[in-house]
Amino acid sequence: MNYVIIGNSTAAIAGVEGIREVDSQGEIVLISRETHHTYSKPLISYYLAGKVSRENMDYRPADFYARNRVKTYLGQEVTSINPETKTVHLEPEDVDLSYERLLIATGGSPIVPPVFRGDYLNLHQFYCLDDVLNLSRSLEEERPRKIAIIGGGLIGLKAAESMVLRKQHVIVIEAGPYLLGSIMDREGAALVHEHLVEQGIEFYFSRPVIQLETGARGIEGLILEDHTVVACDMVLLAAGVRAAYPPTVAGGLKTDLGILVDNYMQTSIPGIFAAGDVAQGFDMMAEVSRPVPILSGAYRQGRIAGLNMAGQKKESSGIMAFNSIPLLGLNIATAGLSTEVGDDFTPLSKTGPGKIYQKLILKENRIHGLIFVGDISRAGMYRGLMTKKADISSYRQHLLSSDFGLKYLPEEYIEEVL
Amino acid sequence: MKKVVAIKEYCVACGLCEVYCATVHSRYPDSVLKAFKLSPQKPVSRVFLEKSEQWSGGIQCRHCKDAPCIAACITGAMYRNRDGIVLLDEERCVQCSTCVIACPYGLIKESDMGGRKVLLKCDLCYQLAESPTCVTYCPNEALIWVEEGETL
Amino acid sequence: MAISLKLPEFLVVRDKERCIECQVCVNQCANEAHIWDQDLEQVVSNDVACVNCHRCVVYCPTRALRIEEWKQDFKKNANWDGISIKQTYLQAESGGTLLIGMGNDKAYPIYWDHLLLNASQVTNPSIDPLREPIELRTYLGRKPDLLKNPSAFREELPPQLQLEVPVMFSAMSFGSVSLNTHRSLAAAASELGIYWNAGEGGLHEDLFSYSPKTIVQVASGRFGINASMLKRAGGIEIKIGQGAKPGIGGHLPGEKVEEDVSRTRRIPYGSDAISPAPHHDIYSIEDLRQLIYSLKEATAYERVVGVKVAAVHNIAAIASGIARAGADIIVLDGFRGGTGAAPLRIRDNVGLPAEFALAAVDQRLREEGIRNEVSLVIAGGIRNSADIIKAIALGADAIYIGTAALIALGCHMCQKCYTGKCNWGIATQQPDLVRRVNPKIGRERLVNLVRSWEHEMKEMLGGMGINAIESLRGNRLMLRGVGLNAKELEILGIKAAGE
Ligand SMILES: Cc1cc2nc3c(=O)[nH]c(=O)nc-3n(C[C@H](O)[C@H](O)[C@H](O)COP(=O)(O)OP(=O)(O)OC[C@H]3O[C@@H](n4cnc5c(N)ncnc54)[C@H](O)[C@@H]3O)c2cc1C
Repeated sequence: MNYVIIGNSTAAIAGVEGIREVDSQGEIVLISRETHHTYSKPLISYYLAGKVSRENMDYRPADFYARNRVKTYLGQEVTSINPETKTVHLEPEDVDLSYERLLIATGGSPIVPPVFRGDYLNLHQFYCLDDVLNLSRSLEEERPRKIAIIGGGLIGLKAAESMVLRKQHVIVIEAGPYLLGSIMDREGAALVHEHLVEQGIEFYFSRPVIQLETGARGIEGLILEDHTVVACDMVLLAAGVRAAYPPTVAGGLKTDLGILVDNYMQTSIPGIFAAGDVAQGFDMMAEVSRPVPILSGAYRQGRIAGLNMAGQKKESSGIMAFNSIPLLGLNIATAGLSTEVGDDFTPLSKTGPGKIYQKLILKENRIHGLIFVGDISRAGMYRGLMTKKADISSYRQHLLSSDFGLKYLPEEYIEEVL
Repeated sequence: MKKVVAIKEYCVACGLCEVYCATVHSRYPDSVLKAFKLSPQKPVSRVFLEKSEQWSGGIQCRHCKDAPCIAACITGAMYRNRDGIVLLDEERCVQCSTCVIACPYGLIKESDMGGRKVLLKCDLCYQLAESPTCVTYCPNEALIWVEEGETL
Repeated sequence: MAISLKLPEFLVVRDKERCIECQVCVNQCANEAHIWDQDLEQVVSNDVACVNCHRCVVYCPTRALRIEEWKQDFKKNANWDGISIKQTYLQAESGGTLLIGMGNDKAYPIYWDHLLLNASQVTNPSIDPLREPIELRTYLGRKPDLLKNPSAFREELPPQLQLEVPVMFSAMSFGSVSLNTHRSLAAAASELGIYWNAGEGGLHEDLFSYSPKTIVQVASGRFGINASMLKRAGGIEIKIGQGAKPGIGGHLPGEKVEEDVSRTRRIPYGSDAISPAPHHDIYSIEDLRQLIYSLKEATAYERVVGVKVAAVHNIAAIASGIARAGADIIVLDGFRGGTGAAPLRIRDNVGLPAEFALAAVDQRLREEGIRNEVSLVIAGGIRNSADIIKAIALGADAIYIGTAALIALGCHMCQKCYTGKCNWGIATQQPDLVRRVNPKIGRERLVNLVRSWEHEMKEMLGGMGINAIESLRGNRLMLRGVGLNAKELEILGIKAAGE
């Protein structure tokens, strides 16, 4: 069997590991647009903040490809896939590689809002290693005084954190009414906001940027919907991510918000699999197919894809969205349907002392989502109960109590841990 | 793979598993007294004594086959060694705590080492020749080290 | 509220240099003598609650703890010593009987320590147990008077209990001790090829697999007795009395009668389990004979039926009656015998030393020519293998150990069994405390103890030039008395040292 993997990040690496669990012989070819050894994307902000060295950004040890006998094409982009001939085309090398099984793990690409389309010297993406290597250089050369970050989501706030740690003045522009809108509720977001303001970050909410003021240095001011002008001398884009499809696939893969995959990570074309941020698989909490662009999801999907590509039938039970995001000393964790507010959902929450907020989203005696701010030490247990679709009725009254733990859980659960 | 199993029928809830675990992972692995008296920070245990009215037991990382913490680790610092032991490379860990929420049993804990946050989990004392320390020092043999699936 | 005159008995000595505030002592003390103080952020002592059981001392990982006597002198008074004064305060406060656990701790003479064993020198060779076999196997039960058919050299024997070592674990009921204690005793006895006695509380169903090595008791409360249980058991013992509290019944408080105890004893959950002082159907030797034969009848004459009595003043005559009533074994429980709970004054002031009872009974049965009809087992204060060898030389067939077995399981002799809060998990039904006895460890320790005694007994026998315990039984010439008066020597039937 020969395998071709497009991508060199979480899903691709997990794909290699999945294949090698089953097939130690088959030939694996891995192609990536980026030239780097596999690295961890979330670490870019840590790198920028000086919390992690370049070497320690590697997602797997230096001998990973050799040990797993993976042939790599780094710095090569797949420009087309031909399922008829079972080949992929590489540029700039201009070669066709054939595959028996193909894994598309091309991840995501950052969204650039229309106002920012154009060439501005001081406009930076904040998405991959090259972005931050560039950014790092610019920071040193240009010594900006006010950095505006577009987007108050997870990536935007991690970017903001790294800038604060570099002693930069940071302004975050969030189009929505509060921070981390895709995973956080208003109360939780308020605590995060309060904390970040204390750390010196400035915020603008509910007003998208409608126009730019430009000058010699590039962007010099942002004009918001209500005509507020925010002066800045550098802009970081963190306005969201969408699936990064390889440009053309002859015959066409079925897609929605990502490449549609079944529970075996198989796409609509036999022999072609997809995993990670580019794929749209089953979300076990929402119980629908939808993209869950997180690293653990990419890993799980990649491994399942690898196993199935190598012939071991292994079904995924779906993935769960969950995140842990420490921001300048404040811990934040969310999981599942953390923003759900519908009628059938009952929140159970607890606040304080200090910046502590814990909330479970319950429905029909199950936990469907959680938000933890401040103290996240027990979040894992609740997430475990979510994964198990556990009926919480017998211990509902103890949920979120300060001593909540195994002791309140049913016998089977305890036996599993002992 | 050998795992530590807690026998709740014989756990006396003394907490010595925690004391010795903390000691062996401290700067003074051979002396409880020194570990607790001389360490700049109070030594922390990676095994946790769970107690209820009905039972108690020292619990620690299960070294799951399909480990959610490894899948979730954003740096690759969480890995499985050749013996199947799930280990955290503390050098490479950036304390993002994603493993904390990934672990369904809540067995990876954050700890404050004098202002420095660290994440700690059971390493089955893989560097020792003998059984894991919690097992060695369990005064009532309520922690045992057995092949998976093996019963008493 | 009037001030209590009660003083602590013990002082908890905590070495601050060594204490690491790990709170293991707090976790282990069921009496709450160690308390975690939130405000001070340290462990503090409540000395008055300490019973000196050493649980904390043994568990402290830095050896920071020691328990001392609370030294409070009273004005010197040879009559009214501190103990007497304190007991008076206690009763003046409580209005109740003083209760106590374990055996008599008063400084009465211990006759074992006044007996010396013989050894071979020159005129007869001693035996090296490492080179030659020495037989400790013992059979308990009625032995025939003579061979009915002398030419056959075979005789059908009545039922016997076969012991690989002449040691048994004496009756401690489930209720007074924990199920894990029973598990340990039962498993050890089975491994050792000896018997254990389940006491008067019946046999828990988890232990049915050990029943061939179990002696069950029929006591005045008749708890847990039924035909199937009698048939299942290896032996039956009628309990008339107990050395720690002769003439007194038993009372297991309802709090200790939890589900398992209630099911095993076949009494309602939470009800007090009362063993009347006498058996209400036994007022004479003839009545006893009826019960013995009822039990034999119920078990098709396939089981040994013994009778246990406390050693009291007329013991020789009583034993003779018991033998004639048809008992296969007589158990003589001396005044040092242990208990889960007894009134202090009874424990400390009633009964006889087992040594005297044994000598007197053995002598009497021989004189009456019925010694072969019954085996003699003594209990109450056997501490080691030398005590056993001396007992056998004085006439015992085997001995029972209770306290020694519990000490092997971890008992530290704090004498607080009656509180139900045994920190060693032995004399308690509190689930978190019961877990403290791991039967696997318990069995190992009991087996080790008996095996080590076995070696020592063989050594002592070999030293005397004796290669079978049979040859020592009643062989009082192997004993000499030291520091005993003529009357004592006469009752013990031994010569003085040097004679
Ligand atoms: C700053 C930041 C912080 C994050 N923090 C977290 C976090 O804390 N927790 C979390 O769970 N997730 C986090 N994420 C998201 C996480 O990084 C992604 O979910 C994960 O990287 C997805 O992995 P992937 O393998 O699917 O794709 P990607 O990591 O996007 O990798 C795609 C790979 O495909 C290659 N590629 C793309 N197109 C082509 C092509 N046409 N030809 C050849 N190669 C191609 C790329 O070079 C790359 O190697 C963060 C992301 C960012 C940017």
